[in-house]
Amino acid sequence: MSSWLKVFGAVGMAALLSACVSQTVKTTSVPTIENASQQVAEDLLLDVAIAIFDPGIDDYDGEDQQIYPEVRKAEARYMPNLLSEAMQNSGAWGAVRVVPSESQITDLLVTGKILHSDGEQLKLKILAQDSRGYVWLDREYSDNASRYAYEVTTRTKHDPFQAVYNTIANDLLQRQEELRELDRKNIRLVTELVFARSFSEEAFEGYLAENRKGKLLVMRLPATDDPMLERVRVIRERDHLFVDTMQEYYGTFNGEMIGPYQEWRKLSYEEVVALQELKAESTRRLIAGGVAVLAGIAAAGSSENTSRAAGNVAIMGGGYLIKSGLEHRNEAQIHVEALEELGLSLEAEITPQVIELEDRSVMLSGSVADQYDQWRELLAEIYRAEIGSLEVITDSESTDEKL
Amino acid sequence: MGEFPQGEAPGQDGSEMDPGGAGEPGMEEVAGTSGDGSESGGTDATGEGEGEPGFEVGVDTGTGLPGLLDEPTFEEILGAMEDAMGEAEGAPGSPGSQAGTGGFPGDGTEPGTGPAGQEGTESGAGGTSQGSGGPLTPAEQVAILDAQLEQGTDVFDAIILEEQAAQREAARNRTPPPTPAPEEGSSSGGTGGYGGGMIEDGIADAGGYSTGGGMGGASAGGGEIPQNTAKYPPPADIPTGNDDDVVARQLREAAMREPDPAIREKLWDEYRKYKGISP
Repeated sequence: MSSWLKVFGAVGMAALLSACVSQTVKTTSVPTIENASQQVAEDLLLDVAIAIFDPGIDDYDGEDQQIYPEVRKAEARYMPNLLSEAMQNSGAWGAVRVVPSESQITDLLVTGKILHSDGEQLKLKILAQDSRGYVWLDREYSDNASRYAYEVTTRTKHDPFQAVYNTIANDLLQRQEELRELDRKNIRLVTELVFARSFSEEAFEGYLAENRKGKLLVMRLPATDDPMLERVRVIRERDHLFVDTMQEYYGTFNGEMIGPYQEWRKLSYEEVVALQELKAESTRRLIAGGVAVLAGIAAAGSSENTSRAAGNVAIMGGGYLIKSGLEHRNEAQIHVEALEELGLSLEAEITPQVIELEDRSVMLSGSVADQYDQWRELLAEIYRAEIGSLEVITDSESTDEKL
Repeated sequence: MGEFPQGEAPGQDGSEMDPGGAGEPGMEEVAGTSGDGSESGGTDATGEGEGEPGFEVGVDTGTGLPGLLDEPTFEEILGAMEDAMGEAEGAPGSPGSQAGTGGFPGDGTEPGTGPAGQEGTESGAGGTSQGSGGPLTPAEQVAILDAQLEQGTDVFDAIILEEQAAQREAARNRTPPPTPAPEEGSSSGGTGGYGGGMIEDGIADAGGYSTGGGMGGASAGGGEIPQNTAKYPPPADIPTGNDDDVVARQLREAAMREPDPAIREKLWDEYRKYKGISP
């Protein structure tokens, strides 16, 4: 009697296992973007540059990874724009701009890497560092999209992963709130001097020094009317103009990308959720089937007729569950293929835009870099000429003293 | 080389020293700040940093993140200064000799309030100017190089304007995407740009050094940002600014920051006119 009960219990447990269902995120709540707690003078607002993200395809080997390199590259240019908008909406920053590379000299540089991205989940690694070298953030952020995130009414309001961008923006704001006016001044000043040094290392040598931790300290200040600094400021305005022009590129690109990309994410979400459910269901059935078969085999060797009968039933039921689990696994493969097809389709659609953006960006950056090189040479010549004139004065003064 | 205003070094004022920062506040490794794994909003934020270097001990803000306060010790400043001076001393005519020095950052003085060491340099050199057939004086050389630099800015502006024109042209030729419903409260506007006065009517003033409206910051004027910068959502007929060029973006941002409804409406009219949107 007791073995019959055991078989019955095992079969019951198997049935329970196979009846479990997976859950999807249903909430669409997005953390609100916080505003600065106090007003800050305009000249102390920190400028932010968000470099286009690392698409995270270094380890991509093309197999069994639902990563589509061109889609990732597109996302790496699309996502910084969303973060930029979130930060701008806090009203706590100066200019928040997306920049083509991490070499941009700015008050606060934000870089990111896409660790995972599909319609269902987004995982980013974010690093933010100010011009002095202080790290503000070095974290991973992840979020799962809500099942309602792709409904038309919801997605016109915000991105399905808006929570990620708002959280990053809030975290950065929180870090900024720790700064005193003195620190803000220092950051602004260091940025200017680093920029100046990048154009005329000789002229601005000695203004900054690194401490043992690699943080930049201002050692002394240039005069307000330092002509070399004036020249560098003129160049910096051009640099800002270049960055602003790049925003047009990214804006245009985002405008072109958003339609097909949202559609892809919507379909991808459905496929990913269905795939996960099928995989989970398949696993549950296989486990339950295995348990039932084992229990049935054990019961089949019993001396009691009822136990033997129950064992046979359990074996048959377990066999059915295993068969069903395998069918679910095959069915899941259909969703994998559907995802593959969706990804390839989006790739085909946005690759020309990615290439065009890349070409334009490289061309403009190249022209700008050439111009910067020329300016560097000119500034070096100006510096030498000015130093020459100082030497003339020094020489004449020493001659006068001798006389 | 300018005098090092020792009494003005940041962090020298005892009142600014962090109470918890024994030893070298501001430059200590973070103790016990291992990031945090706390969730914020609906998002998992997985802390990673095992103590980001360069932050003070004792400035834990309750978030588990290290402080950002810039308070080097006097010894560190001296050490760094010695390094910097050591490098500079070898070079003839160290840069400090021409730059003049202001106060030290953090002393409350604005940059460059000190004597301007450069003054008189060019005029002195100019005094030795020779006839037009002779070798150029340093001041003349500098003037020529400055002119070349200015020409370079003209070229640069031309490149940028050409790009902007190409962008506008491409935008006009492009089929406009279906206009999504206007966003509520989460507009894509921003707080200021890089110098609001850089471009007037799409044409940069390339004539000299007087261009530009300053670096960064909200350009609403007045020296302080409004309480709610960029908090006036665009009217219903204004599309998202994804394809805005620099001029359109500046118009949009100005309109979204403008508290006066009449002026704001005029700015939006300008924006509509510029973008070719019929009201």
